[in-house]
Amino acid sequence: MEKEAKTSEHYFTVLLIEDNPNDAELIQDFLAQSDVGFKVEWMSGLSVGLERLSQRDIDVVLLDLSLPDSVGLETFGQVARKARGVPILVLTGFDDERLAIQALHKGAQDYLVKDKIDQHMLTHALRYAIERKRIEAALRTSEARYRAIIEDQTELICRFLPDGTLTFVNHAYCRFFNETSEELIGQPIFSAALRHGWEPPRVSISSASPVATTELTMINPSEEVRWYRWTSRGIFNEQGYLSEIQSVGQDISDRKQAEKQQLELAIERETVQALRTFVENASHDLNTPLTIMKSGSYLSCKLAEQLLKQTIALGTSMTPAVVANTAIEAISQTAMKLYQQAVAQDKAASRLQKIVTDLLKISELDRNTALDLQLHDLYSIATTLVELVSPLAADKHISLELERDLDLPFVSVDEDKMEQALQNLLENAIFYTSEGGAIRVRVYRQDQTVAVAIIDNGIGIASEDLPHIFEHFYRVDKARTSPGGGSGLGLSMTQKIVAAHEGRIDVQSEMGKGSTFTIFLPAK
Amino acid sequence: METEPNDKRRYSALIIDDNWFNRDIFRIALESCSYHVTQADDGVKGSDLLAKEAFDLLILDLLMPNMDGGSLLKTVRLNKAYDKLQVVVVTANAHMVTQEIQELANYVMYKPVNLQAFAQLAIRLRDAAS
Repeated sequence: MEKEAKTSEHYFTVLLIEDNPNDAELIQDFLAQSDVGFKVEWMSGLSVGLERLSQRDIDVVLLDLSLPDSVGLETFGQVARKARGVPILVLTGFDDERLAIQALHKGAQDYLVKDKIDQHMLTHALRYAIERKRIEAALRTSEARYRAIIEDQTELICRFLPDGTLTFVNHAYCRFFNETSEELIGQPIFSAALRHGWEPPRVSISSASPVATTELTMINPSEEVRWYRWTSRGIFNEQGYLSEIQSVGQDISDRKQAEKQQLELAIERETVQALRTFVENASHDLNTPLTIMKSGSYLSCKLAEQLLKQTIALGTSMTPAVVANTAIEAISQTAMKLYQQAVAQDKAASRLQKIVTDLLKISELDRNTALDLQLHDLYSIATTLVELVSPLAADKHISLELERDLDLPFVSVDEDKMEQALQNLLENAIFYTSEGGAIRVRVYRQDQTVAVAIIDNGIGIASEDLPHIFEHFYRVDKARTSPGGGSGLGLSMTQKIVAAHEGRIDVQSEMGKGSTFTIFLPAK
Repeated sequence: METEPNDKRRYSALIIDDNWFNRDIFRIALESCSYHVTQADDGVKGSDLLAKEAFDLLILDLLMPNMDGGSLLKTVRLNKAYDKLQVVVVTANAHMVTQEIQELANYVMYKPVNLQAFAQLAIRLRDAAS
């Protein structure tokens, strides 16, 4: 320790302020004999003593309280103001012990009665005063350091007595409850907490298990619900009784949020799986009755049309006067309504059949990922498909162009499935392109892939819709409300097919300008 | 079943209407009067078809996207090639039938159309053309 170092190499500087030369000499003698290294500087009056003290290299002051230029407590007060942490021992006469005790109350380290001083006592008192002052200073520094650490934490930190009375709160705690530490300290921990919708942790702490943790929600000043993890540690006195509890609250909302998302994700996965199984079973069950319905509604259409034609033919064989006098016009109106209903039903049945067929295709893709792979020229597949959909395009006066790179490698594909994937994309492009628009199909080589891009100048896809277009049944608003169109399964089917081929699909789109869907397949 | 005058040439009609159900009903009525029927769902497609094929009868709606029936009627009547074309304007909007349209069209009928009257008219026009 430093004390030992001083003994061998250093000395303590003692400032002796004493007007009596005999007393001063005696003290100097005592200290000279001490094996602790003391260097005494004697000043015979207060003003010279204060001057010396202000030089800051004094370790301890020995102060006579009755000096020629000052007397009693006034003397001590002046020295204490100058001393700034240097310990002061007061020297007093036998009859003046009361004054010395008053000096102790004002901060003197100790007092010595002149007539009773011996060498051992003096040395001991000086050493003790110096050490105590040093320890106090060290404690103050370390507490200040501790306080700074605690205060600067973003965690909420408080200490409270076993009855719940708060004894300490840090800045973060004050900020959280929007009250000052003066307002909080001395109050029950519950009062501020309950105002913020927080029931404080009921922790069970004993000397055997002094730490307890609990997680709970609290409402912060911005009225947000936050998750906090409170770690409470009991502080026990020497008798083993709980004297205080320190609680540290850490904001774990982010972690809780992540946990919640994971849980939601897991639930969603389960839901999707259950839905998939249901959809598959339902599609199978729906398929047969739907086929019967569809052929029925088709037949109804044809029969209603025939009835309407026969009624009209009957009417045209009569003279206008006869027509006016029979129920023939009323019958044709009824036949017309019947026809209208039959057509509406037939269209609905077709739509439903398209959905069920696509669902079955998707289920099949999910269940049976095996592909019948053959080497193909992607361009020739694209040509077949463009021919297949060209009547649809012609209907809307949409031009269909096909381009290719000259040197195209083969790709390994399941022809039927790839045709399906391309058909879905082309039908979409036609559906979302206005009258007189243009669609280009470009087959080209890019790095280690062969790409087929379907480029339309149609209505485009809103950026908020883009991330969802490959989801089952996702259709942008316009498509959902307009008649006809697809099942909402086309793109998700296409994506599955492309993924099964270890390819990828890319989409770029701008509202009002058009969309480009590109399938990339590994080149062979 | 229906009266198909096999010995005569087939009469052809073009229906231009943006409502599929109206087109369908007119088609059925005209087919039962032995017309060969072609359809278009807007004015532009309609005039394309008129330029490509010869028709005896035009059933024309007025309120349509891409060239309305009124403008189409005016162009048709300015073109000598369509001299023999009979035009029946069928509309639900009486206020759109201007004096000019009245004069340019052979007949104007209002929706909802009395099917028997429509068929009687179609027969009369067919017989007048032969």
